[in-house]
Amino acid sequence: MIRYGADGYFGYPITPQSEVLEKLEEEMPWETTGMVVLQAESEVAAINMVYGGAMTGKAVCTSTSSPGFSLMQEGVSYLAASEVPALLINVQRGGPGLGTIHASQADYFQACKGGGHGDYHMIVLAPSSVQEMADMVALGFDLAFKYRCVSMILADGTIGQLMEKVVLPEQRPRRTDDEIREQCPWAVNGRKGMRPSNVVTSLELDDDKMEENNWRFQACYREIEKNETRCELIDTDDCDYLITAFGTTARVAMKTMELARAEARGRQERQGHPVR
Amino acid sequence: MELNDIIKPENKVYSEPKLLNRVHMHYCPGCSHGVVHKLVAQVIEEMGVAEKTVGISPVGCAVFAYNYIDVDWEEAPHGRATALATAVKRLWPENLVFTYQGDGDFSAIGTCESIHACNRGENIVIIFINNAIYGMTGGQMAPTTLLGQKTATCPYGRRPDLNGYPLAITPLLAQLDGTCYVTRQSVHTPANVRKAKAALRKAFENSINCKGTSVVEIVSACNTGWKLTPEKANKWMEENMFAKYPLGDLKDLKDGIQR
Ligand SMILES: Cc1ncc(C[n+]2csc(CCOP(=O)(O)OP(=O)(O)O)c2C)c(N)n1
Ligand code: SF4
Ligand SMILES: [Mg+2]
Repeated sequence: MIRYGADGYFGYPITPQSEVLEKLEEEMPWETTGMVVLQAESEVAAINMVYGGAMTGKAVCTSTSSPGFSLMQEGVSYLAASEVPALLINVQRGGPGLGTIHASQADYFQACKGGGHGDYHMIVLAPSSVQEMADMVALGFDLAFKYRCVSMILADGTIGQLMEKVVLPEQRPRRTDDEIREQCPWAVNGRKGMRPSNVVTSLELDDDKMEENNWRFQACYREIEKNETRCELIDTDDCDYLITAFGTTARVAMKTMELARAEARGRQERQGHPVR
Repeated sequence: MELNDIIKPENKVYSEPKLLNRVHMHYCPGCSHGVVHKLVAQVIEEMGVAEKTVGISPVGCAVFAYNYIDVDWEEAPHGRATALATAVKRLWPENLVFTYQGDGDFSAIGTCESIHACNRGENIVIIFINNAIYGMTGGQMAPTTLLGQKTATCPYGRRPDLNGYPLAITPLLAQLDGTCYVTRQSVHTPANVRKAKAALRKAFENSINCKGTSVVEIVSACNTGWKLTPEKANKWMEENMFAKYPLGDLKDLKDGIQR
């Protein structure tokens, strides 16, 4: 986040991702890049700080784990309805309820179908390594600003706790306030030069206009589906079976495929078939 | 002296605030919200700070404040205005950032965010409209509803055994180390309007000068929710509300909070 040039992070401790807030507080980025870091009083407050910051055009994010993300849903719905960019990270743990602190992928539907009230979607990026986790911060922010929508990194507790070698991205400078004003002419940050006032709201009492809004949201989601759907294809050219997986499960699936192919190769050699 | 000798720019004592949009307000006649809106517009204009002002509107009758006061606005989820304001002020520290919230918004659903923003000493202004009722949703009981007061959800009057006691949150906030200015005002007479305006000005200056959190409670009339005429509502407010919510400054740290 710091290296992306993010402007603010607002979070509340919850296992297995409290290290994000801890590390940010330790790094004190407000003294280097000027990034704001704040421990909120709850996930409800944290997501609303993200909402408040996002409406001003700043690059803001939060991270949490499953129960915390459930608490945030009202705010996520408001973010989506207001068409403001933000990055949210859910390092999933097992549920329902207080559940376990161990890894899970059980929030898949919550993440992919929207999660909160109303008909909205987020861009959901699912890393299967620490490297991808690091890279998806920039990707998530860039896509959120490109489409003015919410990006989420859907990790799981294993990825959250994993130690791996990682190449960190180059430090990007934070955008200046004037750059933000130029990039986000819709943003709420004061009527500089007495420009007409900006209002960001999710409220629309005129049903026809609300329907129009919903069509616009859906058009945006279709556009994102068309342009941004991505996955890593491994040995798919000659496959008989295709395994699809994300996160930690993807690593298990890759190993399974490797073993299955080795076994098949052995069998083919024994039977005198050409080895592919 | 002729009339035309008097009508000169230098003799002008009042004009319509330029930052108040020329649109019909949806507020009921007699409601305090409109008066407070006018004061907010006046003070921002007089301070010349519209270029760096961000308002946060609540969920409540004032949700559409953004249609009336011509500054930049964010509209918050119910109760969360101070969380939004926290981020805005931290990310844009030179801005004047204020929330405008009802008693249900600020002191029921949003209590947690309200107390913690004040306790952190966020350099924001909270304009807290205490009308002892949920105006927008049709007159249900608020935390501030007085004992014996009838509302849609305490139709026989508020009872402490069933509903607890009226919550005076402002004195609690005055005790927190993060607040620099906590005051209770009203806008039901011209004299009170002038005092409320001075209080708003002080609070707004505190935000710009980063002196800590300022809370301006306005004890307000909701004649519709109270089912009274505007005139009787003001009288009822004087006779009943001011006993529980007395007007005046609760805290005023001239140099701001200790950091
Ligand atoms: C999460 C949520 N819960 C409930 C509501 C419904 N609601 C809208 S306004 C309101 C009460 C507002 O009362 P108050 O804050 O006192 O403002 P007033 O209208 O009196 O100015 C409620 C309960 C809502 N919009 N969102
Ligand atoms: S219902 Fe009450 S608070 Fe709402 S506009 Fe009418 S008088 Fe004002
Ligand atoms: Mg009220």
